[in-house]
Amino acid sequence: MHKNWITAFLICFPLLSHAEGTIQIAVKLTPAGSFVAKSDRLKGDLSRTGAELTSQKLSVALDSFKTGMTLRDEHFCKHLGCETQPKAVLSGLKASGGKGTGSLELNGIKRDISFSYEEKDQAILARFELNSADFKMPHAKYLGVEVNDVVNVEVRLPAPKK
Amino acid sequence: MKRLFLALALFITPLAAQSYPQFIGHGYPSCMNCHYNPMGNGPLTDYGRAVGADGIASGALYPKSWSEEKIASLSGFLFRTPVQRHVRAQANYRGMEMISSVGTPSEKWSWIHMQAGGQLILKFLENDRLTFVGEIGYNPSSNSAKASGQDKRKVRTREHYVGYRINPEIGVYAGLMDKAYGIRIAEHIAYSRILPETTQNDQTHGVMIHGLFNGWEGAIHGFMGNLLQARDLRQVGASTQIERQIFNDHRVGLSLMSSKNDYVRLLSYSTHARLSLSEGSAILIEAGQTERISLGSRGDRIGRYALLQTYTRPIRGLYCLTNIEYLKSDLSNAATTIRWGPGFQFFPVQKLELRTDLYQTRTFNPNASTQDGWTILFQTNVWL
Repeated sequence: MHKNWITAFLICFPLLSHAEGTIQIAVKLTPAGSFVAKSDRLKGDLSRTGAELTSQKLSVALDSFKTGMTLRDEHFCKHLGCETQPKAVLSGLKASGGKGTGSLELNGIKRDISFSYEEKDQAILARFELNSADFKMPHAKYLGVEVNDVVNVEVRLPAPKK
Repeated sequence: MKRLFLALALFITPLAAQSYPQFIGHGYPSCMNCHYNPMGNGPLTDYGRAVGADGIASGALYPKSWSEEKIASLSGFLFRTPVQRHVRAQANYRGMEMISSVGTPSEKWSWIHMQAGGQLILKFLENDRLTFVGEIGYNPSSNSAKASGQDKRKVRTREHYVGYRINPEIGVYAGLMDKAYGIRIAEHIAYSRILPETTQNDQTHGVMIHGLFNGWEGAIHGFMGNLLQARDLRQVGASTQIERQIFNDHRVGLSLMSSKNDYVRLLSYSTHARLSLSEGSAILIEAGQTERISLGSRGDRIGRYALLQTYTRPIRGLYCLTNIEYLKSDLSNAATTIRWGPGFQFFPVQKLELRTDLYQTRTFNPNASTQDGWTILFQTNVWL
């Protein structure tokens, strides 16, 4: 029985990628300016069945995002609700033909999202837009400079083998 | 020529700027977040002060128990968090130890007080849409001004204006300001500031319209000269500076300025780029030309300049820079000047900047031989 499981695992292993990827969130400021929050602690599974990519769960620790300024890192983490839910979790990911869907849980709120992706240089590069108001985050403002609610997210994961 | 080098070296000094155009490397392509003047220079906004405290200055010297939030809360005037929103104040001092003619028998060390002044800001309406900014301070005299007996004022105002943002995209500013032209780098005697006459005392009274739309930012500035100057010296004209954001993080731009007084007509034009290398590092490039037409006498000339500055930030608080400048002050003359050198800019704690620069100035002239000029500068800049 054990041998069967081991054999099955060895056959399936190349098709399953234990993903450790990166996320970049491009944030625009008003009246002007922008910053990019980056994390390289995206963890989870990504597998391929034929032309379809699936993942049960991808998650990232919200306190792992770096924005280039320590205070901004702290504000960013708090704004995303890291004190109540320390991780953002994407579950039920399904993607094929350059488009995909999943369910993102952030700040205690779960929302379906859709994204586009491309496979390039042995990596999956997915992009989508998020509106922080959809996740019940307050409009962010600090000493007269405001943060736009809509941000652009770019996720890079190693591509599972074909 | 050696005198020229000395005169230039005497004023290789940043002035009244704690937030610089290279901070595009921190994700701030516009000056507007951190300065009341949307084109940069002058007093910092509350946000600019907090960025200076947390993003620019080193955190190494603070007690470990201090949070970034606490450090930001000390960024206000006299290390206090403002308790009201209408009045802000700022005070600056900048001094410099200059070592000129390094390594020669005439090597000279001297301390120069470059700036000591105060600024007052009044701001009203939602999002501080209406602002009044005034500055007054000590006026250092140049050697040439001392020698000629001109410019005896010991006190000078370089800024006083009222600004009104009609909406977040458009603002109108009227009063005494720097002209909208080129990259407003801190080194006010950079060739890119000398030739178009946008140096430390070249502010002008006028009206400026500033706009910011979908990746475009710019200003149109109509001016009548500094009204505190004699009427015949006032440069009356207009200028514009326009920038376009490209590839998310970078800016390219164009500038044009035309002005005249009773003695000279100036036409300047330039192109520039500010490139963000992220994590605080950046490259600034500018190239331009100024046509100088003497009215009523001979002496017309066209001068050309170029500037390349690189900034790298190995650790928080420290910027390593390289400055390379090109000058051909008269295209009909064979002489070309190159000034270059490395520097370090260090912000050990908030409100304190220490800077050192080494400059070598060399003139290439097939008709004459001149000695290279070497200058070392140590600057201290404190603002409260």
